[in-house]
Amino acid sequence: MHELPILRSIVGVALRHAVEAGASRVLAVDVKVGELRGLDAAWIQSYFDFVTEGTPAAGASLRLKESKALFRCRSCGATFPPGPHAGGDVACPHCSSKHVELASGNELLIESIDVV
Amino acid sequence: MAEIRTIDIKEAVLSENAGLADRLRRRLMESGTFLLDVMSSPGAGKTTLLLETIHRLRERGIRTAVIEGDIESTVDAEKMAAAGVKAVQLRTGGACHLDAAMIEAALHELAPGDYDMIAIENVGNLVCPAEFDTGAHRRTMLLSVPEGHDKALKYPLMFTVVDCLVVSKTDYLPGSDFDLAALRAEARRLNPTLTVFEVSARTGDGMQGWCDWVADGIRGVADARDGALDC
Ligand SMILES: Nc1nc2c(ncn2[C@@H]2O[C@H](COP(=O)(O)OP(=O)(O)O)[C@@H](O)[C@H]2O)c(=O)[nH]1
Ligand SMILES: [Mg+2]
Ligand SMILES: [Zn+2]
Repeated sequence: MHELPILRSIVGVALRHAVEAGASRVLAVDVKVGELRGLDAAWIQSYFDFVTEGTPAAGASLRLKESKALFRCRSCGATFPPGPHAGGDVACPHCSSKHVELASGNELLIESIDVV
Repeated sequence: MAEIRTIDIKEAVLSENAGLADRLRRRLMESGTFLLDVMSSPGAGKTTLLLETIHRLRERGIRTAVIEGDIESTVDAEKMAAAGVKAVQLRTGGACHLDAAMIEAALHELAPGDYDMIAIENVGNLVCPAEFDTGAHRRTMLLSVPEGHDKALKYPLMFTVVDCLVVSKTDYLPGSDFDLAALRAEARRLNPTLTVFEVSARTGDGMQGWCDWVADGIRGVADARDGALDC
């Protein structure tokens, strides 16, 4: 169950920032999730409820924002979605360079929290 | 009623694990020890490939130890010991992955300076281990021919975090409908810089190229250490 350590990490970070801000309750946690992570939103919320039980984040909503997979060309800087690349290699649609890297789509980032 | 405030955080999840993993990577670099993480589904051939690789690297004077994270039993650690390979068995208590803290604990039982390489046999699954940086300098996944070629779609994250894909048990290729070209295309769509090897640990086919890649990683770490000593 790798979801559990992930959720513990999310809740730990949220609570730490809430305490630092002198807040008494966390109402919402915004998390950016790359589509390549394949996390199941329904499962994640129930793990979240479990992990936050009895903490100042109990009852908070976990808002997941999915980011799409995007490549960046290291030659010209263009970004583009992974398309069907029949030939095998991924190449930049603008300059045909094969020096491309994943720019987004695999992140798992706590963006912000709403607190009172 | 207190006002609702939004606090900007922008912090990666599991950053604590990532920080520890970075420290381990640096520490092992300083002792000139290459850490290799090997991941796959159960039975894809991790233990077999590691034994064969260690055997071949030994002929090149490379000393290897293994951290056994697979939970099935202690069979793998026993196989390593029987082959004269130092192995540390991790007791993961049913965990679905290894993390940097477990590797740090295992390293206490090894004197890293005694080894040119420490290989991690990760827990057998292609989902959870992808999330956790173990501090390895390079990460490899195995996909065995009997599992089928359509795995990149099922385990996308794993394909993006590894440096190398070993298609294992290629002795099963003749007569199978395993589409190597399709797998390569799909894998490199997710990870354009992925290195792919086709290997049969049974027949030895493709072992040379794979072992060269591992040896290259070992050399990279040794050079980095010597470079650091120079300045
Ligand atoms: N035909 C064939 N069988 C293999 C190969 N590599 C491993 N096996 C077999 O596959 C089974 C599982 O291998 P093992 O190394 O224990 O997999 P692990 O669970 O990933 O460590 C064993 O019966 C091995 O003998 C190979 O290259 N070809
Ligand atoms: Mg094994
Ligand atoms: Zn370009």
